[in-house]
Amino acid sequence: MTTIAKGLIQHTVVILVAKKERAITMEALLSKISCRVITTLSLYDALKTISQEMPHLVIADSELPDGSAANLYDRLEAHPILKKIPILVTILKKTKEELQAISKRKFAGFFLGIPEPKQFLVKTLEILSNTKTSPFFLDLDSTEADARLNVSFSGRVIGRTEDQLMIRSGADVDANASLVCVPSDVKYSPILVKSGNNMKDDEGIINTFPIGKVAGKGRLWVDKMPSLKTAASSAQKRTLLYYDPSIERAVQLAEVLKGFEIELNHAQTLNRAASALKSKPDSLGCIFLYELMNDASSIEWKKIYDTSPQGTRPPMIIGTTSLNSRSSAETKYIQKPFGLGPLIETLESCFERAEDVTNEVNKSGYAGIDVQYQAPGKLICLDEIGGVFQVKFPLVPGSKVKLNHALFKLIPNDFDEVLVANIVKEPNMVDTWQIRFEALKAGTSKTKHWEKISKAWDLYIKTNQASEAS
Amino acid sequence: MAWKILIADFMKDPEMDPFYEELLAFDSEVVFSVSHSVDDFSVHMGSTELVALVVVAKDFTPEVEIAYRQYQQLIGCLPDFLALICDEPNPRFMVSVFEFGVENILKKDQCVVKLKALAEKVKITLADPTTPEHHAIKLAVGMKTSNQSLIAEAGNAMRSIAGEDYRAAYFAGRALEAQGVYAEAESAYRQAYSINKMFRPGSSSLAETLMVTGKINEAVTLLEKLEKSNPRDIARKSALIAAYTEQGQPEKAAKALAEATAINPEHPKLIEAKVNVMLSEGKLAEAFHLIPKMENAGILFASRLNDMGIQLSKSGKAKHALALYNKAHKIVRTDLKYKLSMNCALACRRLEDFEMALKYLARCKKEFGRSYDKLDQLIVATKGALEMKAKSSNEAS
Repeated sequence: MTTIAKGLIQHTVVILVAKKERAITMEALLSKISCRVITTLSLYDALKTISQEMPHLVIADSELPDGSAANLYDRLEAHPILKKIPILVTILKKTKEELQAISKRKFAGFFLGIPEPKQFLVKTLEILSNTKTSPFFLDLDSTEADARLNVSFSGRVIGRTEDQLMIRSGADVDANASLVCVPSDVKYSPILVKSGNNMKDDEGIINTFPIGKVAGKGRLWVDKMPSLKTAASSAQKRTLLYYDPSIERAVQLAEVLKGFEIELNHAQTLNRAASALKSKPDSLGCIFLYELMNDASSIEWKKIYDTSPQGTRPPMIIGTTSLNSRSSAETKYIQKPFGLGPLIETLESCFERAEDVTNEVNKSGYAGIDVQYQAPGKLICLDEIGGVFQVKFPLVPGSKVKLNHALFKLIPNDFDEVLVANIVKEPNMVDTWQIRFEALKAGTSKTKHWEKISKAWDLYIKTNQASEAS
Repeated sequence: MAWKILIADFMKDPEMDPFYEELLAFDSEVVFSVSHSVDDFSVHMGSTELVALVVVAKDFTPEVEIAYRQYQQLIGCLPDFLALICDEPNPRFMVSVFEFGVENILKKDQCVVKLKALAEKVKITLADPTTPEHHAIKLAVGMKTSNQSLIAEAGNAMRSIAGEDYRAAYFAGRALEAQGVYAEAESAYRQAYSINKMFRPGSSSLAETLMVTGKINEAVTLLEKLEKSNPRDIARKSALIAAYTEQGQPEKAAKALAEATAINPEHPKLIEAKVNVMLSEGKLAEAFHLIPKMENAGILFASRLNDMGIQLSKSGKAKHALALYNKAHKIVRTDLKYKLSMNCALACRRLEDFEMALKYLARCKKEFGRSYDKLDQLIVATKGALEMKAKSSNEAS
């Protein structure tokens, strides 16, 4: 059974207290463990909030202005979905009536008096981890259901240069991703693309892939595409600003890059790099920082880079040993150690400008080809706002993807477009990421969404069992 | 049969020992082996189960080059099945391994997880008959065992998908080269180059076949372009030395020779280049003296030798040609030995030693893996000539 990666899902906790001051310490402690906290001051407000938010835990004072924790328990218990929410009670007065009311009901736990912070955290974490990600949790991984999933998102092939294929889409692609690209028009065969990079312009995202690594039957239509004459692809020489404290390494890299028509402009310190950026940003095609430490010069560099005019600011590549660095269209991370091929591919991509590409595409009149990126994944679980799936490459938070699974066919439209909310790399598996997605549509309550999921799941299980029996 | 991933660690890095322990105990359809010497490494490379290579090194030493070159010669270049473990390779090291198609560079502390993932990838890829890797390994087995049927089968499979993937085009070229069809091999390598210009083994193979098919100017243009990003590759410098000599540019050849000698005067490819030049200039004695120092000589050398031998035979020096061929047979690439055996047979025919010629023809058939038209015709003709000779000497007596 797959464990949900730590930090992937943010828990929601509702605090119900008689006095606001009572909540202050609890709010701080829960924020420390990355919980989303909503504080309510009456039973009425709490019930309304719980119904809307479907929290993973409620922490309530036993005595309230308009009722008690026992009342809260009874009201939730009567609800077919909300009864799953664990309630932790703080018994302040310890009267016989309070204690009796608590003992007659199956609360998740209780504190006699105000708990010590450590005691509070231990108990809270214990309850949250027991419910996995949520009390509303459909763990596909532990069932016999087929958890295989197809993750897809739309794109449009807009053109190519000699080195790169350009696809406009709604999502960033990662350099580690190998994606099947299926054209909507069946007369074009699918292609496999890898080692992707991203650019952004006013129209959105352009994914770029090294042409040399495009494979598959569809290679034939890629080869026939007209080649765009962008400024970068037409340039005799491209200039790279390279920061590296090691002169020897810089000299060697300059020699190597000469063979790829890239001129290296070496800065031995970040201050020198910043000066070069300030004095002639237009002449620089790209910036490559061999490393970026957490020190004063890095802070200064970031300030200068961020304040340089966006129109002339070259994209930046930063060498990193961190496994969790996330690239954006403007700042790309390349994991050290890296091979020469991946470095050149990243540089080639960075030299291109999205606006230039778009202009050349418009000039060329090329109609483009609609495609669907597809990649296999594994559905791990579903919960009240979405769920978790596993893929072999990182998706970028904020991207929108489509999930295809037999279960989702029973809930049409709900999983046509889900939002990638968070991603965490699986620590013990290579090239495997867990993706937290949100499927909740605007205007739909969590309870309604979860009701649909539960019904669909029951039907899915029945249908599968019936087909197995036959 | 369990596929094998070989880890070559010639510097015997003690930090790697706990990782080796874990990898050697890895229970899977794909197993790991570790080699700490070049001799042991060569033994492993001869195995038909070996499919992937990982080298542990801090710099591009002669041993590291031997490792990647042997893999390239015996299996080809499968970028996804090659890796280097080095925490911080310098750019010269990066470009040197890039010549062999190596793009995966791993940190020591991540190598176990990454190599286990590689094992999984090897298992899945080789089980899939639609992948270039599947056919590439089949081709490698065919070449190691001189099985021309397997070579042809793998080659045909690659040719059918050569337009879809630069790796398939490259391996189609290798198969055609192994079958001695150099013009078609050139076309296949050209296709690989046109699909992916960054793939160095494809570019280098194209340059070599251009030289064999006589397109020297185009070969020089390509080699000079590749030289710009890595002027320290002795194999390429050696090819340039031979090409400049063919073009009649002795100054350029001498300059390239001086540069290569300054980098590594004992490099086997440099010696091969010198021998190629000597053969072109008819300096047989000097070439003869240097040939034993060569290793795994390629198609260019085999082609020059063929030209030289024909000239010697025509000028009545068939004995010299035979001696040259026999010396070269010891050092030429395994898949080219049959050509030398054929040349030996032809030289023996000129010396009218038909019995010896038939022995060389039998060796040629064994090394090629099966009969082929020219060979069969020659066997028939030689047997006929032997009978005629026997008949003549009976009549004379």
